[in-house]
Amino acid sequence: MKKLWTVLRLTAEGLLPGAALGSPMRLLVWTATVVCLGWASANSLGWVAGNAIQSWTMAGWVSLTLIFTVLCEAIAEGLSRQQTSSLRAARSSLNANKIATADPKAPIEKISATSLKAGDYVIVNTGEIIPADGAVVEGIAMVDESALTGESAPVIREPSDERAAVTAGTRVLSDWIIVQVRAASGESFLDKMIAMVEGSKRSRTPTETAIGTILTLLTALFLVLSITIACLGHAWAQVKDSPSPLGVISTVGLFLCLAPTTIGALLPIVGISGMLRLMKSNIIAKSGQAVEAAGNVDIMMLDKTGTITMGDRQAREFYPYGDITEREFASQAQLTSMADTTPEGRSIVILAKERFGLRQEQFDKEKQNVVFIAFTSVTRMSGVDLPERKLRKGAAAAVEQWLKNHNLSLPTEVKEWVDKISMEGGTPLVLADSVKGALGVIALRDIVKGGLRERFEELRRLKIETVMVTGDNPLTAAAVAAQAGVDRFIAQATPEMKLNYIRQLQAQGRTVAMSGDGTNDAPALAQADVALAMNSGTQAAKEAGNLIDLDSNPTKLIEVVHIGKQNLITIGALTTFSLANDIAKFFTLLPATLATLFPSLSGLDIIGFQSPTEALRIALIFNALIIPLLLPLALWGSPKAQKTDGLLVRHLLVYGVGGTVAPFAIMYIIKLL
Amino acid sequence: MMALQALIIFVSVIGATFFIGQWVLLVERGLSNPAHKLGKFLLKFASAPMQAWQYLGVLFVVSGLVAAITCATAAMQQYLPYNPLQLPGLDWLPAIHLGLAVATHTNLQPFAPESSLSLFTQTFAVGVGNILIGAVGIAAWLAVVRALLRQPLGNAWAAIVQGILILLPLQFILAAVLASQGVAINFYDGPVALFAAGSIVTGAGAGWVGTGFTSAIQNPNFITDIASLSFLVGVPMAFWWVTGHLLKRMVLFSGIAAGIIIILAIFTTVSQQGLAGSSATSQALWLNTTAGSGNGSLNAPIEKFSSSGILPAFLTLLAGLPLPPPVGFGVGLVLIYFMSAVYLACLMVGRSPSFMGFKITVQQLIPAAVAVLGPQIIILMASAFVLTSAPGLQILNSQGAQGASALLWMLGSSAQNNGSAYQLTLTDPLFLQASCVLMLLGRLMTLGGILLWAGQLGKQKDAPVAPSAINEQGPVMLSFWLLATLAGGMLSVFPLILLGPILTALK
Repeated sequence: MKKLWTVLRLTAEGLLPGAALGSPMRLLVWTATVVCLGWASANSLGWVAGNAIQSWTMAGWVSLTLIFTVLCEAIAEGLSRQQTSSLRAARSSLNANKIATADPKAPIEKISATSLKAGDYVIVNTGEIIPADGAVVEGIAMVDESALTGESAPVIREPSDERAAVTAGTRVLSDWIIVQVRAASGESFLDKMIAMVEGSKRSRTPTETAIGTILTLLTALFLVLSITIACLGHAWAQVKDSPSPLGVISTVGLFLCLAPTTIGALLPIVGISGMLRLMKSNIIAKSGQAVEAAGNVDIMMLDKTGTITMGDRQAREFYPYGDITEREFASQAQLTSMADTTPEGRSIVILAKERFGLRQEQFDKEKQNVVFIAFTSVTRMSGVDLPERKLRKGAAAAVEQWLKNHNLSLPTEVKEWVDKISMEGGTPLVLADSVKGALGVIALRDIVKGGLRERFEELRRLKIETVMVTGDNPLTAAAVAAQAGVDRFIAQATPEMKLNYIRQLQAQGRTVAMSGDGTNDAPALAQADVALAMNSGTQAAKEAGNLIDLDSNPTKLIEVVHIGKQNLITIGALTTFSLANDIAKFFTLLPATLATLFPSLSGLDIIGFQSPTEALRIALIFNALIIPLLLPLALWGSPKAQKTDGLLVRHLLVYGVGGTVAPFAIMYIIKLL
Repeated sequence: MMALQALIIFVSVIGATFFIGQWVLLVERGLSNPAHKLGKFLLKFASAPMQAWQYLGVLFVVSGLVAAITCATAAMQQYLPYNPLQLPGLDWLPAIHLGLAVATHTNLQPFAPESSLSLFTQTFAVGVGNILIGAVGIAAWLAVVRALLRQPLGNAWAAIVQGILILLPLQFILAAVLASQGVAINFYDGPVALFAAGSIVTGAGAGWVGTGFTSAIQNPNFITDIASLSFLVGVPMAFWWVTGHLLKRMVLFSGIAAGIIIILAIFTTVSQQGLAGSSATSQALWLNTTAGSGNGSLNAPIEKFSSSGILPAFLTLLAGLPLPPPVGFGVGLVLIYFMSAVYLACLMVGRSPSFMGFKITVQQLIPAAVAVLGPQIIILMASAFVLTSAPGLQILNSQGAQGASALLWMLGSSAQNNGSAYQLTLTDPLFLQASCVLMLLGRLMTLGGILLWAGQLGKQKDAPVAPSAINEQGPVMLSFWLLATLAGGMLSVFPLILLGPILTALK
């Protein structure tokens, strides 16, 4: 009931003159309606000659086009408001506890969230709502982000690279945090989400803008055309000494029938519903351009870990080399993984503990004089420097290079193990000592996610190639790639490699999409045409991406591509259908309306109208009815494209030929009723 | 007989296209340096590359000069030499109309030139003007080609010189053929062969005599007919062919050319129905070719064609469909139609629109729409205005639908810078004034739209075509382009055709 009320209220608002100024097309439809109503009133009052009943009927049908146009937009607007109502509620009443420095004991100043500026510090306690987007600089807290993501499980937010980002509108469930504000009011995530779908603030795609401009030009053409037809009719009537075939109302009616009112009314809805579809998938688009580019994607770059595979590569096997025992090997492996916080590193510690009961505490004594070397994407190794020797663990190529620097080499047997593990799809990590050389290999294994093969097959039919990006060696990568069914892979990828790879593809004219979450993904994300950043990712990644996935599910890139394509297809379909309609309307309306002057023209009137007024009336009814009839197409989009082959022919037949034939059929049916 | 005639025409047109194309290519490449040097010599800044609007400015300045000189010469011809018939100067309105007609490449004339214009005016104002304006069209073509090659547009002055270098030899060759068959070229009759050849080669379509190419003075026999027709179709198509060659897109350009030839063949077949005589095919082809290419010359009076036979040419003329494209800049017009069709097709397969590797955005669509829709809109406005005016009503009264057709044709012919006309339609000063405005606006919008469109394309960065992009040269896309071009034309001018020629045809 409330929804209905909202739609009715929005419709009423849309009929006001102010709303008509929104687009030239709407303004003309609105003016046309007002002129018709005015003329009909003048007829009734006897100010101008004419059949008042006929005028009112025509004016009524003319008004219907305007009402349906406004109604359709109101429905779309209503839907988007419904979607954003919880967000608005979250935004409207935010208060902030501003503090001068990042110190929990600093004096608190209570202010409204809207007056916060970037760089300010705020403290948020249990039960309070975070007032602005920012980063945690102090404290640790459980945060409920369900208002944003719909995900009810709370997340931990703390001052670490991966977990620092907090969003306005989310609630602290326990403890406290100090947040440094990153986005001032009006630029926050919440604001962007609301703006994404709502009316005037909505970011339009380039095609929407272009089609809008073309429609304005075509409307001008058809306005001139209608007036010209009326003038020519008038001239001929004068010569033949008979009444003009097209009066004021008929001319306005003719204009409304010819003007691209259908696509004009539905275009904003296609835009809004496209954004709504994205929002329902929990994706935020930073620009309309990104959504549109998604429709063109030729290449999709997906990280192997976490996207294609389950992501938890775990140590499963130790392969000691030479005279070292498996236990000794496990102990050395564990030692190199002490400071390694990656899941892989932890899994080595766990495996060593499970197999041989090795515990972390045993190394505490040694901790005094050891230096842990953390993993970086450049060295692709982690390890430990002991007083008399160094230990390194990492990809075979990196370790081989490291050994070479210590005048040692990687034994052939170890290389064979590495290849074997890789070929099986596992990840081999070579453990080496700067004195003894290679100690052996740790085998990590990962599992490819279910259902991905089919999705990649689906993408292939849309002529989209998938590229798997991984830091693994080429053999491991090839095995996983074959298992997952991707088209290509980049092994041993560094951030520079990814960036260059994207540039190379773009230079070949391809549109590249990628998803990412880490700071090292940021350059590539910024370069990619469609960049889906994970909400759980680092601030740098989120800033570099043009789409943000609140659920942090990288495979959603596939959804984005579908939505992008669907948007364009829907706009194209409606435009073609609308223009094809015009051809049909031309051939039905013109002979019928001019037949009073030129009886010979009635031979061209296929439907066989009884009078020009009937022809116009039926055309106007068709014109008005076709808008709500096509509303489902505009709202839900054209059916998902399954493959690109034959798509053009099919759509040309359905929307082009169909659009030419449908008006004849529908108008004939209306005539029979 | 008809089939043999069609075959001879087909073979000579294809041959001419090839040879003229080779020549254009030679000048475009090999002679570009001497042309540049000549340009540099003529004007110090002639080698400086220009922005689209500067380039356009130069083209308009040259056109304006041609208009002014032609107008002044015609108005004051009694004071000038080479006026054996002692003809008086034209009144200002016809003189202005003549100036604009030459400068806009329309060559629509309200009088019989042989009895109104002195030999001096014919030779040095109209004849030379036609070549200059032809070169302006070619300069616009050069800009389009360079933009499509993503090169700077270059210098407009140098481009005009290049255009003249392309046109003059072609003009001399055709003139030699015509003269060998007895077309006059002497001091007493004037350089008729040279004038007629220039008129065909540049696509100006001007006639030395009022009856134009139907007159034996200009086009006496079958050989001159075939030679003229070969250049008439060959020159526009040669520019198309060269563009495809330079862009290395011969498959696409051949496909489009095949589409144009098919349409011309269909239109010619329709138009020659009811025509008697051995030259029916050539007359019908002449009519349809000149309607598309904006040449506007006629080899048979329009009245001679059946009322349904005239319909295809009516559509082509009023809508300004570039089938075939006008000499030079018409290449841009065909590509604009093609771009529009690709635009819709891209959307329908869910790709953001691009054609030939260029992204299609609102920046290109607006000038493109101006070039195509602009002239159509002004024709509609002018039709409403002229047909409801007193002299318009008078024609409707006395001549009925046929009169309406003649008026509409004249307005379309003016705005699309075509120049052909039913006999004696510019009988009233109002028509003449309307024609002046239409010629000027039509030229401004078409040439301006095309150049600004090209300028926008040229600004785009080099982006090769993605393998997954729509197959532009496939049969589906080409058929869609052809249908969309015809349907697009229909959408805007159908009412005019309905209220003129269709009415006549139905009676």
